[in-house]
Amino acid sequence: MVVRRKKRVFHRRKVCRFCADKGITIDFKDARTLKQFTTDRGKIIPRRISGTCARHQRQLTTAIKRARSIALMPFVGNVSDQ
Amino acid sequence: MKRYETLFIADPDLPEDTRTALFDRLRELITAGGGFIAAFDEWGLRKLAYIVKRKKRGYYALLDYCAAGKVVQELERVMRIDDRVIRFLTVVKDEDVNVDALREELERKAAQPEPEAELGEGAAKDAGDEESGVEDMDAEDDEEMEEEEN
Repeated sequence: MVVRRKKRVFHRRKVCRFCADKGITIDFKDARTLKQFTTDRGKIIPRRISGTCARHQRQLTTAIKRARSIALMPFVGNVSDQ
Repeated sequence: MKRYETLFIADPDLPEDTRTALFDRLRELITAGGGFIAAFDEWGLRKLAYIVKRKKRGYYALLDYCAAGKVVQELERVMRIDDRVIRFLTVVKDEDVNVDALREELERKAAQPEPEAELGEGAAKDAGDEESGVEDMDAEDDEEMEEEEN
């Protein structure tokens, strides 16, 4: 018997935060909200991890990229800060 | 007419009067081209996420306006040339906007104090969202860790 993984992956149903709460809008100016969807290095968190739906992930990606271009968010995370 | 939003970063080391002169010039550019400025919001001095033109900080300002495409081109051309603007970004906010209706709506909002109460509620709600967001992030982090372990 081949043990593929030491631990079973724990599955929790992830819900898209933007679908669950219509109140929050995706806006490139709102760096604080966008920051929640990036790693501390500044990478965009994939859908498979954050649970965001395809539609909102697309909007999110554009917003984060826009925020990056206007220096609201980093392209490369806080390497020097840490 | 389209509604645009231009977020730009002015040089943080500009003296107050030069900065206001710059803002006035940009605003005049829009109105001279037949545009309508819905809002002009000065965010003030903020830390930049990375160094732009050897500056660590920048003076952010947001222009919300309705104008023809030509005006936007001209505005961006001027910003590119002007050294006082270190970065800008224009985004289409609304593809088709009725300027008169928008103007009326803004005037109504300015006259009535009610929308402000609404805004306050919205802000309170946002704060609540952020809290829940933090929790979510923690959960995400855990999951990421788990994957790495596997």
